[in-house]
Amino acid sequence: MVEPLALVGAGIAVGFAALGGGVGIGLAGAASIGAIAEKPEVFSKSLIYVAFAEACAIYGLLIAILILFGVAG
Amino acid sequence: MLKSARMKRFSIIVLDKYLDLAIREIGEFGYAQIIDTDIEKFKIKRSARGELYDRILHILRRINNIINILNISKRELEPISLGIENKSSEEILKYVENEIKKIEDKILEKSSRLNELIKEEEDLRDDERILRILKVSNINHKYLNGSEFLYTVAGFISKENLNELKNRLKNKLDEKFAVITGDELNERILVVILCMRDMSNELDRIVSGVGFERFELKTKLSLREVEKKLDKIRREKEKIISYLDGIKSKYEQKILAMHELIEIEKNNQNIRFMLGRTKKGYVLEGWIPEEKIPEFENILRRVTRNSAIFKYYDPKDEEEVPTMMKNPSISRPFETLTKAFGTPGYDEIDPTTIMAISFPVIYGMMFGDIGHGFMIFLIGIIMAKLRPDSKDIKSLGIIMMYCGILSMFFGFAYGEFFGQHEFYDAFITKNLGIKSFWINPLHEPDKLLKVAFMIGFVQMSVGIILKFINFVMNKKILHAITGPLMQEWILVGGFLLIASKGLRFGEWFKDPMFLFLTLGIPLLGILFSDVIRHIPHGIKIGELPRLITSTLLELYEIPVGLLANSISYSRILALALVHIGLFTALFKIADIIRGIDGIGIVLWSLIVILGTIVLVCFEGFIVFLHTLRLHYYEWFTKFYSASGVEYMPYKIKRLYTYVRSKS
Repeated sequence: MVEPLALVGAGIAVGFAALGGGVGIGLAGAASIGAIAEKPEVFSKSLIYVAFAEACAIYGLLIAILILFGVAG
Repeated sequence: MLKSARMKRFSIIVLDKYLDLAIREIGEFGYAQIIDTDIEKFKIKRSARGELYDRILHILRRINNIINILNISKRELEPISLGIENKSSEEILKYVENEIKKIEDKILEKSSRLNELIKEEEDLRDDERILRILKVSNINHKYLNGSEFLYTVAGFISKENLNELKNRLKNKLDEKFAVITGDELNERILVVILCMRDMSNELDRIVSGVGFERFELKTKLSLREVEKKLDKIRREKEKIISYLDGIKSKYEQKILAMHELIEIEKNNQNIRFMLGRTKKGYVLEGWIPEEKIPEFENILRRVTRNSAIFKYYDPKDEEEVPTMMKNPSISRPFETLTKAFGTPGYDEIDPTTIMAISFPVIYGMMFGDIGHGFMIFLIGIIMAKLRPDSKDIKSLGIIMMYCGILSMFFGFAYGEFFGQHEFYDAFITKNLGIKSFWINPLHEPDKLLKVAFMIGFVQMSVGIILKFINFVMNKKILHAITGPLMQEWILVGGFLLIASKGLRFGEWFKDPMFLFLTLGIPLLGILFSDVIRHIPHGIKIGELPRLITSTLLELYEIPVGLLANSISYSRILALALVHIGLFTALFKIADIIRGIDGIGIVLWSLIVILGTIVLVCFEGFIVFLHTLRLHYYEWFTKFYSASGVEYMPYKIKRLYTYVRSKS
């Protein structure tokens, strides 16, 4: 049985991480599109910069999963 | 498979009279990349742009004009031979010029008449519209024509502005005018104002200030006469169009074939400008795969009657050698994804074939579902068939087919059929007797998370090992030891630590020897990596602090980077869960509506079918991007520099023509 506070914690972890990831992707994505418009061959490289920001959301999700399913033991 | 084709640089001298034929044969052969001849090395001049080029451009313009007039679009047609494909450029141009002259004689006059009719019809259509409005408003069209003494203005005005207009007319034109108003039409009133011609400027000023929407009648004909004329134009137009259609069906194939021939001639001419000019011949330089040299030489010896001189060189270190990727046909579609990141360097390992295995597996794990996998497979077939001329779209289609197959496989493994485990039991287990044989992501996320990390570990290890091999192949043994070997040590050590001691860091320090063996040694290796790399060149004691401090950042960056990359693979679980979650939500929504009497089941089916199509397309794309990201970022950055230059051989592409005989 998952503790109620753990549920809140999981929600906060994933919520804030996704919020930060979203802001980051927004900024990096906009800049990437500008760069791709000027030089289409940088498409794959610009995807990597978007990935940096997006990784934060995944970390949050991972923490939430660890909390919910008690993977950390 | 993992290495690109071995290339040789060539220099060939060809006599003037054989050059056209030689270039064309190189193009038909399709394996030699021609580069700008190094004229300084040979102390010769650059080949000049001849008058043939301008003539080719002129002919191309004429053919394009014919193509536009006859509305010919590029489509799949049976290739034909015009019997001149082997002739000299001069003969080809002469033939095409004659043929297009004949076609132009047949169509140019008709086409200009058609354009006149279209223009006339447009004008009459405007007038017809105005005349219809006049008729509905009960105003005789003759009022609008004016006369030598009378000036007429017609247009629409809103009901509210009509009185204002009349007042202004009274004040400014001193009652020397007449206003004819029609019936109300869409809250606007059609008004015709007549005045003496010498007051025309004043009248124009008045109507421009009261929201008057003016129109002019170009014709003096009545509505009935206009309709008759339009009908006549329509019939004449139809006659010309059907005539042009007849010409199109008779000559379409030939026109496209001639267009192709002239395009080929244009490209051949462009190749000429890259060559060096000697007194009696030309110097061609370029790159060719080693294995193709005998065939290449045979062809050129034949067309130049054994007069060409050949010379081949091994690539030098400073030269930019083009990379010809060499992969088995089954993994070749993935070259599109590799090239989207960048072409592999000439001496670099090409990751395409390994990606052909890992990409569909990771995609399938994130999108495991028999039904949805089959839909992705179908989307792949459609993409591959939709644009057979676009190599990239065809490749993406084939990749989607692979991904669809692996999604179906993981569908069996997870026990998922169209987003529901219950459907799997009801349709697959009950009818086919196949039980799900692996993890259920929803009920055993911890197990799938571990598998995801294992996949990350394996993929990153493969990347690091490839980097190690790259260093060894380039004879940078110390770099291989202090770089990728230490990284792999940290990765394996970290996994061993977590597997044996868990995520509680306190536990790690209870066994310092184990900690030193797993993480301590490789970290020391990284710290002293610059020092070790400098040993063969000799190190002064004074340099030591600089060499050690230069790697301090890496000491933090490498372990944290590997940890972050490993965690990133948890998206395999995340997206597998999202997949199930989205379809559970879809069925929940559909089930709410199912209860409605009569149409409930129809609405339920509609929501489920449309929702499934939308979600599969949307999520299929998202999963594709995440799989791509795992490859581009987590994997490629470990070993792949993508510093190569794409191999672009000169290749004549024939869609509408073929060469009848090469003799």
